[in-house]
Amino acid sequence: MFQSHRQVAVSLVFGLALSGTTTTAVADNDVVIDVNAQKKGNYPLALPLAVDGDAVAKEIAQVQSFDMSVAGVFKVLDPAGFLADLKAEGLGIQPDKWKNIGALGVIKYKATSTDIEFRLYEVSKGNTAVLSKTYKRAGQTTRQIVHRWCNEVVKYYTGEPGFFGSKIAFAAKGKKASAIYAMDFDGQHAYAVSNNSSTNMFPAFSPSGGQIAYTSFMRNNPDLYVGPAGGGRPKKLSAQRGMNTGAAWSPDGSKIALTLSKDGSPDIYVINASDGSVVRRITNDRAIDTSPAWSPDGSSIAFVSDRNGGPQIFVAPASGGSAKQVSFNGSYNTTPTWSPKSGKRIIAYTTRDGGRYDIVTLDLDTKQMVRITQNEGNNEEPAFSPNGRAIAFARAGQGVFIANADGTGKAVKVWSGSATGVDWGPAPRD
Amino acid sequence: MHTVAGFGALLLSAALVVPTVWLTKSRADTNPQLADMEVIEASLAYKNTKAPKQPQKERNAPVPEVKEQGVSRDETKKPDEKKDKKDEPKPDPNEDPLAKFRRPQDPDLESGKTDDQEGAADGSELGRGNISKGDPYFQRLWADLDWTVPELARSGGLQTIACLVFSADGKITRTEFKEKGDDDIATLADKAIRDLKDKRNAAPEEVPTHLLKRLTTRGICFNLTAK
Repeated sequence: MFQSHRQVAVSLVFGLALSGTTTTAVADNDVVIDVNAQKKGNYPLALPLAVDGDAVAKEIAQVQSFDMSVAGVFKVLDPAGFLADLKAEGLGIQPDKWKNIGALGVIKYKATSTDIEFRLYEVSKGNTAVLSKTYKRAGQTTRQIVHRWCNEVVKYYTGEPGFFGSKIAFAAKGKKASAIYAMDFDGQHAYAVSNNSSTNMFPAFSPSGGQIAYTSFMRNNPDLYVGPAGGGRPKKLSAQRGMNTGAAWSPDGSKIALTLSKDGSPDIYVINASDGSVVRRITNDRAIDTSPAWSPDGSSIAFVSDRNGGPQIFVAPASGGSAKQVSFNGSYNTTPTWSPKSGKRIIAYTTRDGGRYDIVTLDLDTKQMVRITQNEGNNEEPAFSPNGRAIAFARAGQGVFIANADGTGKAVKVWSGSATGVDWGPAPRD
Repeated sequence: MHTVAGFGALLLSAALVVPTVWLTKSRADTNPQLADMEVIEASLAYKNTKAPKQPQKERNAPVPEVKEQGVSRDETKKPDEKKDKKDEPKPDPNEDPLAKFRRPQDPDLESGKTDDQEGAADGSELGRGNISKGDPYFQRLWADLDWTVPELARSGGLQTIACLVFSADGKITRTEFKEKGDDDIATLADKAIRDLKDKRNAAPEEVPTHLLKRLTTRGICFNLTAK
């Protein structure tokens, strides 16, 4: 019926934001329209419930679905649309049944009293699993096992480590003051890191994840303390006169950038993480300079300054030197944080737009901005996941949320209640 | 007799006293209690004549500048030298007097061949771009094709060409893959073409006369790729 097409020399091309088309007239008057999509968006993944469907199977399905939906790269398909005969399939798949619903990947699993077995299929590659793992249940919870498996799936597709099993720290108001808390990235197992009745704020995980630096008023001055991430007695690291706030660890963990006001106006300094001694002063002006954030390659420090009027984001060399303004949208931009993605210079920060506070990302090289939140309350203090695929932030009066770092999808709440100063710890060690 | 008179006097006293007490109590109940009354700070009732004012800068009237007026009486002063009009550059008759008011990117300044590649992909027949000159029916068909490819989708490098044949009323009667690989692109193309068929058959757009023969016999094909 259809005749083969032959391309002629002239190709008419036009570009759109997401895709482009080329119409190629053929000699026999047939028409072939070339549609070239730019790869973008999330990978459709089917996560059918195990056939036995017991309590463990349901927990696995629940944790796996949550992990994949916040991974920043997958679109978890609605099980209501599944056409496959799951009982007949068992741990295998009938590829055509999954193709018909638009799934590109399918994960099957089976839990016994001793093991949990997972299999990942790429529908286009037939009924042979492309990744399979079996985990012993002894010595670890079902949730931990599912997190480990999901990290394997993310690594298979992206080559990057997943962030399932990592931790998020934040400051939350108590009855008298605010304390530092940490929890699993999905909001489970929250616990207090600080143990005093004073105001504690601005937690920052060390690169290894073993320590948390935070500012506390326990000696009536905002001093910087470093304590075990699991909770315990902290060590006073910096107690200069005035502010010792907003700690940011260098990538190698040997130094900390922070705001000190010992010489008058708040400026950015770098101190030794071992003894708190000042290494160098990064800014020196009469403006207020706060919220330092170290770039993943250690070469730059982003911070907030009102030297040109309202608060804006600036970037200065970590070795010292002149700072350059990088944010120009609106009149209020604060709390910068760097994406850990190597080879890219992307920051996320809080911006005020139309009287509301929202999260945006900015590629410092291409100047492309992506909006992460909009028309959903006041969102502040972003923190990238260890692989840069997701962003955690605080929504005023509601809690801690996670959203895809590419601006797609909807933010997911992982903590209900007051929360400020969100920081995301490193990837879990397997 | 005395007993009767005494009893009458007592009754009269009671008749006078009881209503008086009852009325007084009733009125007191309707008055506001002290706790309910608004408390006004007494000091506010008085205007403080010595209220602090914002500091004011000391201001003196400026000394008026004395300007020379009229014709100079200075006999030694030389007259101003007149500028020689011959030294002034003559205006270029070809120069655009409005040039300095134009912005650097003013489209009016562009000249030469227009960019044929521009044009709205909205199916409009109007406009100067080549794509705008394309058939609006194909443009709308392209717009209905939801061809999106996820970042992680794997491509085997083979072409995926899907062809559609229409009935005169605009329904898609047949779909066929002329070429297809076995990668994610092929799986996504399958679904995209199926969704396009469902969409068009649910709300068909009549095939225009000039395309009737082509679309109902040979059809139209999409070469679906991703970069």
